[in-house]
Amino acid sequence: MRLPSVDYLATSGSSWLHRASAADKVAMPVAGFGVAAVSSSPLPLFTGYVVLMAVAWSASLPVARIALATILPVPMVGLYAFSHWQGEWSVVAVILAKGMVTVEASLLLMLTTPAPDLLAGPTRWLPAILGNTLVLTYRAVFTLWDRLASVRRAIQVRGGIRHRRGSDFPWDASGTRMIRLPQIGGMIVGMAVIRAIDLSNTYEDALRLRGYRGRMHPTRREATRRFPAGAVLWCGCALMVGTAVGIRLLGWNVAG
Amino acid sequence: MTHIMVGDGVLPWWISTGGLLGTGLLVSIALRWISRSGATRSIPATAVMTALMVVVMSIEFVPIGYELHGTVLAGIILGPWFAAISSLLFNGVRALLGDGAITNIGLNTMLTWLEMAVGWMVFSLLKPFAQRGRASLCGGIATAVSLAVSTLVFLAIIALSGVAPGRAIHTGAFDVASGTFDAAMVSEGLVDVHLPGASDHPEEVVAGLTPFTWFAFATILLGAIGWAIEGLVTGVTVAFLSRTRPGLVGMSGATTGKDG
Repeated sequence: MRLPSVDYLATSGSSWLHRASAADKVAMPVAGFGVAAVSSSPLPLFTGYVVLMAVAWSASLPVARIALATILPVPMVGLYAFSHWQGEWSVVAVILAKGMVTVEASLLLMLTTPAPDLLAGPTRWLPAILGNTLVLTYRAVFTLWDRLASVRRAIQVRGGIRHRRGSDFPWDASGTRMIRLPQIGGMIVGMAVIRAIDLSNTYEDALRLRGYRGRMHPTRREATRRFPAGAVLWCGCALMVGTAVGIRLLGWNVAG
Repeated sequence: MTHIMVGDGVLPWWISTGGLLGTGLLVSIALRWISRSGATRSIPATAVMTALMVVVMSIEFVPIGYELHGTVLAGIILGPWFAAISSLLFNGVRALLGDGAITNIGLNTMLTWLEMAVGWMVFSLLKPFAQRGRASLCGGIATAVSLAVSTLVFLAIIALSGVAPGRAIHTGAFDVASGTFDAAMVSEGLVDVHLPGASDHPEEVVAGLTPFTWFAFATILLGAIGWAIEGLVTGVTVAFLSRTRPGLVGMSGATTGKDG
């Protein structure tokens, strides 16, 4: 998923999950990781996947896009699963589902937590160089997207890369040849990098002048009234991991 | 770009732990070097190159499952120590944005750093040729060499992860019955491992080859197409940078992203 989309969903939402604290929402990746670590059969993994998807739905998040994002690593994970093929499909299903459930859990945290809240913790306990780089990286992603979008627009108004006269344009936009595409690609990336580094230097200087000393502060969001989001998240996490442990101890292996 | 896209709890715990420890050591050395050299003005450049990798990771060549990452370009611009910082942050963001596998952040950081460092080293060796107007070729060669090296290391890690696959893969990494990691997984020691196809847990053979051999073939074949694409993009970008801001790729005394 692209970071600008993730950032938009995290800052524009107002569901119970968006209003829960970042520390409580860490329960979701913990649950995803816990279930993946102890599960030996597909049942608890797919149950965890469905439960997390229900949480996403309850927070008005785009369920279809999340589902798509969770299956994107499947080709590579599938290759790995195939490399350990022992004639049992349940092994392949377990390996794939472990990847999907942890991706989904991490995405839920990212999609509901604005960047300052997400960065506040790490900038407090990471070494200053790492913390500063993390903050500037977050900003640089948007700068780069903006630069790349501008260059793309510039190429389009010149007729694009099809070397065909743009019929929609009132000017002579003849485009360019495919053979020049690598050269243009290099120019796009190079220009974006140079401009982004200059902007990033300026941004860091501006931050320092305004009193930034390497620590981000979380945003102040209205707490969820009459809804104990933290308790729900941590209890849900305990329930998911506990169920996975129970299934493992009882030796249920539905697909195997 | 080489990357272990395998979920948490799939790889044996000692491989993931080894990766985390290695990364901790690498980043500690890098932080110490950066603090001592006082080159903190390179932090914005490090952030931009990390962001570039995050941005281009969303471009996937779906038919071959290959993603561009610009790791070698980042390595050439940042040098090996800032590359370690960049690699760690990139893999952290990547784990949260779509890969999961938080326990593999260490392994992936080491692999990404290896790509960046080898790319930087090869480009540094070829710099005399790059100065003579062959920057794009040198950038392409550095990319191809570093991606080939990291792919071989990647395959070695996957081969090592095949320790007693029937236990390590199927039963999960953590033994909940005893509350510990399964001791049998490391009973043979870290050196005397059962490589796939050569163990007492024979794997099924498909068309005369073990699944791991197929996997290695597929990875190298599909990877080679990706190396060519990434080498081309990196080469032309390095050529552009060497003309417009040569100091950024360490080619003259002009304005540079690396100061000190």
